[in-house]
Formats: sequence, C-alpha cells, structure tokens
Amino acid sequence: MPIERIVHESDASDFYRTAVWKDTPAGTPLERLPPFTRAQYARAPFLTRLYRTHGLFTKVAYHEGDPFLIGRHLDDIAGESYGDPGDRPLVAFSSLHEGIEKSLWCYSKNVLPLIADGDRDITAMLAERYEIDALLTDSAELATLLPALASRFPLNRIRHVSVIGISFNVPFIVRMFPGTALTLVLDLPETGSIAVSCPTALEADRAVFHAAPHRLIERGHDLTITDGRLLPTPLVRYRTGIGVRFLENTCACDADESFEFAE
Amino acid sequence: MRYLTKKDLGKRVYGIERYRPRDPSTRDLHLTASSGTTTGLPTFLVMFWPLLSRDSTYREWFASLHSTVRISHNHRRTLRFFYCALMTGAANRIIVLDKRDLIPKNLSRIMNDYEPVVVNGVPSQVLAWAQAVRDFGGETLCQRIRSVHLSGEQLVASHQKLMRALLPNATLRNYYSLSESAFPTANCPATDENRYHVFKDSPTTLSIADPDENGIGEIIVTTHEFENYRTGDLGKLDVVPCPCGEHPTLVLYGRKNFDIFKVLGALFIKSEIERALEPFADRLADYQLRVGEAERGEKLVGTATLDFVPKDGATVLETELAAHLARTLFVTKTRTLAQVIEAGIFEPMRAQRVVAIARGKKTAHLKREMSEMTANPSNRRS
Repeated sequence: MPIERIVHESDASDFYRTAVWKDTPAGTPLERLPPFTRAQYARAPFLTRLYRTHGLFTKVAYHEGDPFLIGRHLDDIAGESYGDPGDRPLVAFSSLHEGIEKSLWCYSKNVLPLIADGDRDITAMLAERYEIDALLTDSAELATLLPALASRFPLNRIRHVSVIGISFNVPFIVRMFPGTALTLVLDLPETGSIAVSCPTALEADRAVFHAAPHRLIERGHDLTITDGRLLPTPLVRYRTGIGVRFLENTCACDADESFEFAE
Repeated sequence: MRYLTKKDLGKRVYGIERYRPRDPSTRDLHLTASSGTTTGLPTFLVMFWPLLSRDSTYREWFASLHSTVRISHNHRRTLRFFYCALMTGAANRIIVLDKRDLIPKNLSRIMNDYEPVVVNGVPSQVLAWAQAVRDFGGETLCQRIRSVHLSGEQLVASHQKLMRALLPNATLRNYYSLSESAFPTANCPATDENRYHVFKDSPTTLSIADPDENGIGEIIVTTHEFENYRTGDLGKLDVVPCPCGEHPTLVLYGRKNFDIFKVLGALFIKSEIERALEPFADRLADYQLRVGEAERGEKLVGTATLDFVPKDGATVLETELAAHLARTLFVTKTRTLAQVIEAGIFEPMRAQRVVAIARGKKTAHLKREMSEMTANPSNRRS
C-alpha cells in the first residue's frame, strides 16, 4: 500500500489529516495531495505528529533559529545511505544529535564508530590511535577538524569520506582527499539521506545527485520528496526548501534522474 | 597477585583485538576513553558489554527509561547509552541535549514538546538543567520527572538537596562505575547513598587490595575487559546481608589519591596548581587549595580558598596570590579559574595566611571540602 494511504488511514496521529490534508479525501493521488513544508513540520508539536511512538531516537533540529524535535527509529537509520563506513570510522558532526545518529548507522553495519569528542585535539589524538580509515562528517565540522587530523597523521590514510548535509565545498573536499572514495550525501535532520552524489560527476568537481533508496523525488525547483517508509513522522510530499535543478541528459553513470543545486 | 593499572592499558587501543569489522559481535563493543587526567594520556579501549544478550538487570534498567532526557557532555558515553537503550527496545523515546539546546529559549520549547519523565546524566549538569527548566516556568515539567539516574561525578549533599527540591517527585539513583568499563553498581535505596550493589548477572567481581584493619583498601575489579584492575578508589566489601537482601555491599570511601577533584565541571589538578604557583615557590613554605560547593539561595556556586604559610621573612600579599592563582590556573582545557569566576560559576577565590596547614595523611596541596558532601565521594572522571 502506498505510504500516503497508510498515513491517511492511520489511527496513530491526525497530523496529516488535520494539519496538511484538510478537505482532501482518502485515495487522492499522491501528486494532488497538498505538499507539506518544513515550517509546518517545525511548528507542529512533536507528540502530535508521531505515527510510531516507541524506540525513538529523538533529536533536535533548528528551523529559522527555533528548535523542533524529530523521532527516528533504528531500523530507519539502518536504511540510510551514508556511503562506506570503512572498518574504523570517525564520526564528527557539528551537532551532537547528528553525530549520535550517524554512529548508530555505523553500528547497523556492524562497524564500531569513534564519535568525535567536543575537543578536536582529543578527537584527533584518538582518531590517530584508532587508525581511522573512514570519516563521516558535515562541511562545518570538516573545515575545523581537518587541521587537527592533519597534524596527527597523513590524511590519505582515510580511504572513505562521507560529507553529509546540504552544503558542500566540492573543490575543497576533492583537493583535501585525492584518491579517496568520496560521497556527498544530501541530508536534512528530519529526512535522513535524500540523495547521494554521483561518483562520476564528482571526479569532475561537480555535485550531481541521485535519489537515495526509498525516496521518491519530484521534479521541480523546490526539492520535494516522499519517503516510502512509515517513519515516526512520515514524509509525504515534503518540501525541503532546497533549490535544485534537474538535469535533462542521462548522467554519465547511467542513473535515471539527476539533479544539482540551483545557482 | 599481579594487578592491572591504568598505565598498563598503554597507548594503543586496549582490547582492539576483540573487534572484527562487519561481524555481528560488534554489537557488544563500545569505544571508550578516559580524560587522561590521571596518567596524562587518555586511556582508550574497546569495552566489551554483552548487554543485549545476557545482563538482565541492565535490560530491565534500560527498559525503565520512558521519555528520557540525557544531560552529559561525554559523547562516547552518550552514544553507548543511546545504543543500549534503543537496542534493548523498550524505551519509548530518548533524547540528549546539545549545548545549543540548553539555551533557555530553546530549552523551553524542547522540553515542553518532549515531556520528559526520566533524567539521566552527570549530577552538576542535571542540576543545572533542572534549575533552567524551573527558571522558564517549567514547574509542571519538573514535577512530572519520576526518576533521576546519576553517574560520572560526585553526588554532594547540596546537589541532592537542591535536586529533591526542584524535582520533588523523582527517585534519585546514583551509580558508581568506571570510565574504562561498564562495571555496574547502583546505590542501595534501602540504606544510604554510600552503599552499592553490583547488578545481577554482571560478570564483575570485586575485591579489596591491601585492606587495613577496618577492611578498607583499594577496590579491585575483574570485568569483561580486565582481570584484577586497580580502580584508584577506596572501599570495603560488607558481607553482612543488606536490609534489601542483596550482598555483598560495596561501601565507598573515596579516591585513593587526592590529586584531582572536579567541582561544578571545573577540574582541579594538583600538578596544575603546582605549576600555577611556581612563581611563588621561593616565598611559600606550604599551601593547600580547598575547593568545594556552597549554596547561595537556590544556586550552587564553586568555592576555592588557598591557605598558605609564607617562608620566613617572605612577603606574600593575600590579594596578589589569589589574583595570580585565579588568572593562571586552568580548570578546563581552555578556561582559567578567573574565567569561571567571571561566569558566575565560582565565587571569587580567596587566599589566606595561616600558621600551619592542617593536613591528614591523604591530603596534599589540594583538598576537597567534605562538609557538604554525602558519604559518597565516588568520583570517576569520564
């Protein structure tokens, strides 16, 4: 059954029926359902928009400076696409919530993560001793952590790097990690991995993305997604607010649909 | 008997040979590290904790964590906490608060949205959280808290008193463990805060090394990771059955070495104090820095007083010495005592000339004020 039907018929929450799909009858095709925005998500009380209530890893995200809560289940985290964790990953994010979540993802792959300490020098020292071979991070943390790591060991020891978030300094990342398997993951705290970079395009310093598994991505300027899973807060026609441009030609890697950030 | 010490754990990742990447056995492993304040280098090891399959008390404990908020700045411990709570599958939701989340405006929104029932964390940080919740008018939220689980820091009497006032319906449980191991003990609710029982089904065994005539000596633990590991803490094993029916009971008497104390997040290290006072070495015959907490209304503040004995003929101004020490003594990696005073966390420090330092055999240049403490001086640094 499509996710929009499951959500429509759910007894667990009225959120979509009352706050998003008012006056929209059950059975309305997905493309005719009203989209749902980040502002709506952030404004709605956490406990009223939960369709699954147990075993929740709860995290905090911010929208225009105001916090809002997100519930995630371990099974959903395990299904994310965050690249290759290697055997000994360092997980370093500017938000503790994201660091915990990505570390839980590593566990789901039976890989033991080293989560970054609040102190970057200690993190680098432990990373050296753990002999990390992979790094999962975001752009902000990467910029500040790299000097500490580079002072401890050659960066080419790191064989897999995943940069996760919504902004990427591609030339910088490529320059800092030549010969390393790089993955850029378009990800919001409330969505998980939306799309993953095309490795072929990345070789040419271009951030071109393909949809992650379970994500239906609609063509349009404002990246709008539907997640086929019953997440604690399901995402049905969720407008991310990320401006994108879809590419008309087939990608060099033969993926069906590709997009990049709008100018 | 040969004992294992922190130094024996070495500079490598102790226990790394247990780790087989991509193997399901990874689910029982956690990376943990100490702060390095004892040996100068963090102890870094793979903790083996077969929680998910065998330790029933742990499973029950995690199962009791309904709508839990965790207050701690130790990311590795927090990850372990989340992983275990979620993998045991019973906690309906758990959340940790990052520094940004603790800003009053954000905290108010988050807590009202989340509706916590259980709080888990480090005593001073949990107390600061409860005060912040009360300050934004969250009395109802405070009254809803049913239990508070504390570890990682001294639980002093003033902490307890304020916590009971702020969270009137909560049961306080205190846990004594090690940074290096999931060595599990919880205080006995039937007696007092100073008596601990090892969790049922735990493979941990306890013994006491070099006991004195009262049976008090250094606590030795054998766990999944270590055999006969010296904890650096003093205690005795009481084999008389406890009123609650458990036995033996571990009774804690504090640290074996009194060279490091943590007060409201500030770390006082004997060697750092000696470094800061080096410019006065030719004028001081003896000194002792006394640190502790004091209640000021409904707030706790840190206190630091330097007692000193000048050398014969030397001139030492009390104000000069106090100002110098506050300005040069680092109590966190980046902040001096003067900076935590400026932030209102500590009262202005004092220095006072004394005729002699009253010193027991266990105290040296650093002393933790015990007057406001409970009988539980357990202080494991994370």
